[in-house]
Amino acid sequence: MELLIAVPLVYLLSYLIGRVYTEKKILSVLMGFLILTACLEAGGIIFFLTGGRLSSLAGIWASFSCFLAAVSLLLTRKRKREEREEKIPIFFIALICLMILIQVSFSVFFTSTIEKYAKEIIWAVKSVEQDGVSIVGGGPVFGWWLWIASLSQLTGLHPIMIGKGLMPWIVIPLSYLSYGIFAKEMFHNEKKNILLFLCFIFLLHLFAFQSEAMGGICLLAVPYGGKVAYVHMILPYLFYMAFTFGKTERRQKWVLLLIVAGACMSTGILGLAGAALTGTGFLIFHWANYWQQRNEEEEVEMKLGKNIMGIDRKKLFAFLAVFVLFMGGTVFAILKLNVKINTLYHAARDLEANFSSQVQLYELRQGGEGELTGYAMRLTDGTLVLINGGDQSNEKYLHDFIVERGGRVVCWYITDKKGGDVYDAMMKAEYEDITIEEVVYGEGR
Amino acid sequence: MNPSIQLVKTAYNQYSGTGKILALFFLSLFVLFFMENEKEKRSMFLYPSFLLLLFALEPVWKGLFAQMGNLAFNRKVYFLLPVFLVIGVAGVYVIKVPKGKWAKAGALVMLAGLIAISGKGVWSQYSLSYWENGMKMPLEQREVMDWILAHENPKALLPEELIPISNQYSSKLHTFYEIQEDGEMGKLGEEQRKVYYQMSIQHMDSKLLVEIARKYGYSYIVLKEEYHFPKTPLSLLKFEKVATYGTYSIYEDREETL
Repeated sequence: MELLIAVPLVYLLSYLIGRVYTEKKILSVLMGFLILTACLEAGGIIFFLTGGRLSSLAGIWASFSCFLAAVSLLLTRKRKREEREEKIPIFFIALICLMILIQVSFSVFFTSTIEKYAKEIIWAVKSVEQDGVSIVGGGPVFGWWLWIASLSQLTGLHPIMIGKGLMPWIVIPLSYLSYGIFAKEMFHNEKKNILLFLCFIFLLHLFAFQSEAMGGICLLAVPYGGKVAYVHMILPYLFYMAFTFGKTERRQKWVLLLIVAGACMSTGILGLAGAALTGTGFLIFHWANYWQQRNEEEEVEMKLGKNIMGIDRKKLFAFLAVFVLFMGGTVFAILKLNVKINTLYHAARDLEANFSSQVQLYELRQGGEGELTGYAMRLTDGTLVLINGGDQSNEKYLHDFIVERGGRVVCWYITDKKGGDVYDAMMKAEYEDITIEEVVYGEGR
Repeated sequence: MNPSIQLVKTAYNQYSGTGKILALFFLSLFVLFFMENEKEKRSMFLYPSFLLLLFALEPVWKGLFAQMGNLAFNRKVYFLLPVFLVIGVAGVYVIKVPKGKWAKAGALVMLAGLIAISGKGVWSQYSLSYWENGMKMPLEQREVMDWILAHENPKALLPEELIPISNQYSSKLHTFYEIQEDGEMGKLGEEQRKVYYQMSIQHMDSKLLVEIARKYGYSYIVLKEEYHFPKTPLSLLKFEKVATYGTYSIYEDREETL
């Protein structure tokens, strides 16, 4: 019952809060979620430093979210009615909903063997049971686990049920929303291309699991993880933000950056580093683009020698240089590995030849040609080690075998009755031309 | 080989797995370089993706920073790559190339097939659902933990597969050690590693386990009856079987009472 209340409540709060900072309805949900995440992260840090209780943090966060939602609702009513967006075809919506439903079902109703170390849930359990924020080793500085802990505190459900049962319903649709928003900007709102892109994303979610090491960012397996939230929710939004930053109102820019930075921080050190690195890339290439526009002519001429296949020659050569560098490095590494493998192969072959020339293995057969009755090893010093050897009727053959090969047996392993019988027969015969130094009896004797 | 470079190589090999998805990613970047004509999209999507790739793969840079982190850290750096985004966008651009509906449909099917054979398929990593108890764990495992938690001093030596589930279930159940992230056991102490090893083999040294359990006040040992065959029966060491749930049996220390 609590799940039925919690899921729509989170969406409603996210939507209403987001409306404060965006005019687009569909973007509001994602923005609202990021705002809730950033608030939780900030609250978590404060409570961590002051040694506060989780129940207080969850309560304050919930009431603060409701307050923001109420403010958003008031501001939304006052805002002028926005222009209606083009209607989205029903088939479009149905297909996306189907893809989301399939993924959520996978996540909710099946257990993955990848998710062994669910640290977010482990920390949330500790925090909920001890009602503390500062007791968790990782701390709330990277406090994605606070989502699980706070919702668990508010709903009374176990953190496992929140993380593996409720979070897929929140994270998976939001990740598709984030990818969709990115695609909308990337493909200039062309519905077919957006749908195609989301289909590829769906296929990648299902099939792109390439190693256990990447299990940490597998949305189907670990929907409650901070890394997953960064890779599949925040990263597409970062690219969307880069495309639209120029069109954003100036006062909103800093608020947006603060919110996204807070959300990235909550997903973990990787999220923060990834956002910083990606943001650096945006800045570098935005400025490079800006200066290039200032310096170059307005129209690009398709002159011979300046462009190859419509691409600027300098850029093409720069790319080819980098490509050749990487490929060269790869080929070099492969060649080096090849040399190593060949060396290893030759060494192994020499070792094998050396071994087989020094130690010889023989099969002992009844009468020399019949049933296999045992084995003999001729060591480097010419002595023999025997294992079994058949029954007493094989005594003559065995005697000749030993004599032909020096006549000295350093050890005879007897593990069955037959072997024991042939040994007894040889002892009775009192051969003087053979020496048997040691006999070891196994359990079968 | 330089240890830093070795660390980088190992992390890359572990992350790339089959290697085909990363190959698709590289190919997609190549495609986008030639097919993306808009300046804004190139500078805000394509080039930052290249920058992230450089950061993740460039050997000199990685060699310098590799020693700052362990293998798990170096492997996680590859998570920064926008693999899905780049492959998805390149896929849409490739579909645009053929003329005609059927040609486009054929291209879509081929690309979908290419993606499908490139990875392992995430469902190969799934076991059956345990949703019947709402906790996504086998009922018998939950019952074992509930039993231990219901008693005084809930400290138990558990089989390896119960450790992560137990840590997620309750922090009140002390398990002597926690499974480390990404399977790295380097942070465990010597005795913790001994217990981990003994509980993961069939013919365990039960005397050693009992010695460690008593040293640290662990009253319970849980064994998987179809798998564990202790060298010395626990009953001889005064650990008595007190409960059985499915394949798991709980043994309680009765040294003081017997």
